[in-house]
Amino acid sequence: MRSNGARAAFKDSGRIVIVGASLAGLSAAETLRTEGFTGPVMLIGDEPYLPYDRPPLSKTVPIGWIPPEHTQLPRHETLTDVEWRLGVPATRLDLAGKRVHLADGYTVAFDRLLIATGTRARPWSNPAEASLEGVYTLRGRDDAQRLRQRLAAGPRRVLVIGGGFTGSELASACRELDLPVTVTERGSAPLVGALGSVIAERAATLQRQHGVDLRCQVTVTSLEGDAQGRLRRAHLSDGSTLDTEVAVVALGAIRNSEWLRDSGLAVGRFGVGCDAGCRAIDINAIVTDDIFVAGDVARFPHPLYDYQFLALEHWGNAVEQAQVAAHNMVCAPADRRPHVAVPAFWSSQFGVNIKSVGVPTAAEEVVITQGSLDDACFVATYGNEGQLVAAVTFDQAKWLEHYRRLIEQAAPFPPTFRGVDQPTRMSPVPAGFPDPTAPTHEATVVLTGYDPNERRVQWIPRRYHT
Amino acid sequence: MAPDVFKLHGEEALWYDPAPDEMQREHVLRAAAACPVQAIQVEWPRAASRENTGEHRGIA
Repeated sequence: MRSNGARAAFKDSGRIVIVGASLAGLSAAETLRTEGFTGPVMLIGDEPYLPYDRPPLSKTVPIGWIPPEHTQLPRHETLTDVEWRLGVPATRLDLAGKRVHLADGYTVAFDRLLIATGTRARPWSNPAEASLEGVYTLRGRDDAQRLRQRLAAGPRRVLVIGGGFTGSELASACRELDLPVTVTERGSAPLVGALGSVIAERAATLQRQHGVDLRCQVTVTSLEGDAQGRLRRAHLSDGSTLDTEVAVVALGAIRNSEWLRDSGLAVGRFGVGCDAGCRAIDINAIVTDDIFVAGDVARFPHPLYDYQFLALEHWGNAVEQAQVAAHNMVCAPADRRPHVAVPAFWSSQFGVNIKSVGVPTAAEEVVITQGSLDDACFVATYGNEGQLVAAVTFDQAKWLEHYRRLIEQAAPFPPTFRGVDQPTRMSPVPAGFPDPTAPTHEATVVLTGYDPNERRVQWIPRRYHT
Repeated sequence: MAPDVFKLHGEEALWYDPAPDEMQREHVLRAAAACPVQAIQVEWPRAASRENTGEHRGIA
């Protein structure tokens, strides 16, 4: 056990490197300083920008209301003595030598490391088609800038491939710009992977009410360009074609963990495994001492959900997990905290504020406990085996805290309280989540029950999927 | 109050410009003071004008 003396020594002389200079990396750096860590801190980021906020990139930026550079996150001025290495991706981790190798050939030594490399947009599967002029993905500031310019030029139609949160928000942005937009979704409705079919059907209606040409259970099979390499039309799985000059590929995210593949850590497409204290687990599922993980790339066991390993691609999770990780990096072992926050996320689309607490995908059943589906103003609660596991609100955010506390207390499902604006009939129906083993485009919460002990059998070197 | 900086997206979601022009300072402060649920928190960093509604972003 580390003595107080050793702890003080680490706070004074230890060197901390954070790989990933986005929301999680920034939050961790801020927490290290507020926790009293005075040693050197380096933040390494593959993009040339200081940390910026991503939610506006699919909402206010594409409609041209705010420029992408306004998304830069505040407070970094307080980190005057932090060293930034921006525009340089990390390429390798030497666990034994405690070094990070960078793409520019430099290596950086550390005493403790935080991995916060996040995710990137899943590219269109056909590289030649993906490189056609007019085919976009949306993840970073540069993506948002390109897309904003293209939308401002007034294309005759925009095709959004994938009806997850990013795709749905982009479709909403197109309609705000009065652009004709088609959304293709592999599932039965947009957002079905995150919210289940009952609520997703309401989201589908919302899209159609706002003039979206929504095509569900349809995929894009190929993108066709002209002789100049510009997108001209899309071929769909129902045999139809769609003439369009702009296609946005919104098929979810891929975790940026390839740089760690030979590191000896438990790493794969699922992310980087860690314990609830954000300490990375190694290839043998044994917790490491000096490597920590936070944000979208982290996969951790959540006590509230039967210790299942979750990767949460949420704004709030990036902040909270990074704060826990940073605290645990510099505290005495006995003072370590678990990351047990109830997951939460929000979306704003077609004039409706969608918010969620808990893990909807952990549910079997759903019931509307306040309001009604018909007016897109309601609270939906999700349950599993008689326990409340999540709540989703459409324009009812004021109730979210109440439901979060119920989830924390493992309240019964269906809820027994008498609420205001309660529907007359309250019988739970199947929530309608797609088979988790079937391929999906976008799941905001990934629940697979991943067990680190099983990783050995998958650890034979193989080609990584991109 | 400050339509170039804040706008309601539908009934509930508040959209905002995280880095408004310095000329908007007076409007921003007035809008924050007038917010019926007092959910707008304004911070002015030394270098530039910027506001942050923290975790309450999106709740008007």
